[in-house]
Amino acid sequence: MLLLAPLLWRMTQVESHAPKAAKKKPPSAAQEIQFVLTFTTSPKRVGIVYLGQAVWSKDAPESQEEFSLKLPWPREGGELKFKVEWTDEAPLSVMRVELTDPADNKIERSLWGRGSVERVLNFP
Amino acid sequence: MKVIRLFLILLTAPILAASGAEKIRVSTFSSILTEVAQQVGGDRVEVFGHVKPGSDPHDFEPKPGDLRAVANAQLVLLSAKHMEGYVDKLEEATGTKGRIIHVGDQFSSLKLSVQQGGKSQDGEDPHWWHSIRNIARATKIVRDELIKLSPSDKTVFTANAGGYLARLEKLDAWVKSKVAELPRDKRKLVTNHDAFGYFAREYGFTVIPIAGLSKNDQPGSKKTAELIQTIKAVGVSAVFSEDVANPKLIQEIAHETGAKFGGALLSDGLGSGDGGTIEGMFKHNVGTIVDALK
Repeated sequence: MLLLAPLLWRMTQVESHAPKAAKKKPPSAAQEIQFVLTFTTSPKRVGIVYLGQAVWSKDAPESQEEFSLKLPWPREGGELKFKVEWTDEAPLSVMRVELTDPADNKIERSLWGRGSVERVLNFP
Repeated sequence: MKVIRLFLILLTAPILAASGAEKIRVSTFSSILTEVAQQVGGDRVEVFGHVKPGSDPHDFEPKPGDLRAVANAQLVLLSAKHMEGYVDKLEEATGTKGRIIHVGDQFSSLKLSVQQGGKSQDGEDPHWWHSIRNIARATKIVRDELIKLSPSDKTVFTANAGGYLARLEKLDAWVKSKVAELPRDKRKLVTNHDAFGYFAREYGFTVIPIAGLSKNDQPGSKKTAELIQTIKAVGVSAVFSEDVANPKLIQEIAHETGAKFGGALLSDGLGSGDGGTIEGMFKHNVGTIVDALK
């Protein structure tokens, strides 16, 4: 046992000098987010990108679309990138976004445009 | 033969005079303003950039060559917000008749606490160029100043500024799209010195600086220990060095906290290579930050 003492001592020293990893924050759990999209002119196509991933899209949407998505949504909120393609003939149009977050806060944003539009909207 | 030669001289003289029209001499003390002045002024300006890309404006001191250029300049563009501590000496030593424009002082500042002589006092964050909106404001200021100096070139300066502002708007859209790839609860930026306050305000980050406003304000061992605790507590996944700073301390902090070393950011102006333009600087910084913190 005495012969093993120096080895044990060295092992514990190495242990104490090893850096402790930073406490990694677990990713936010997926929660239900409700959407209501309203268009003054229905586009050819509309899509949503969240955290670099396409999470929803629809061809020829109705003038109002209601749906919910399960997304990892931190307390701080998030940004969603909307891609809207109106026809070339369509006048200056607007898409109204009503988002209800997991805490039941309703946040409204607008996206104006002509033709093909890509924009990041902040919630809140 | 003589008649033909004389005719040719008379014919080309106005063209030569026009092409040789004297350019507006501009001196800039920020690599950011050098680009802005070149973009807005185009062929009508000759820009002398005193603070070169990749150098530290906090440590810059004018040399005799700089003083000669300022003495002859018609327009001197300063980053301002207390970045150029030598500005009074510059005016006195050169006796310049050029218009000295404190660009950064013409838009709002982020206030912060500055350590001076062991005491804490209110100060202004001078790193305004990490906000694309501020660069757009600077572009309009430079455009208006050049028009004052040469009203006949108003159309050229207005068109050049318009094109450049459109590019800045496109760049801002790219930054927003790239930052949107990163969840908001991961937007914690640990850097060498406190240079990213304007960036953080515009794109929703929290900055945890290791040093103060200047890279020379290095923290003591007690402060370093506190920073390590903070970084561990908030769960930062990556820390960043800067191109003009020694990365040793930040690498040690990465080692102590277990966070990864995310790379070097361009903090005090333009860098070299791809980071040698404003667009390149933003693409480098935002790409490095988002990819490391994801």
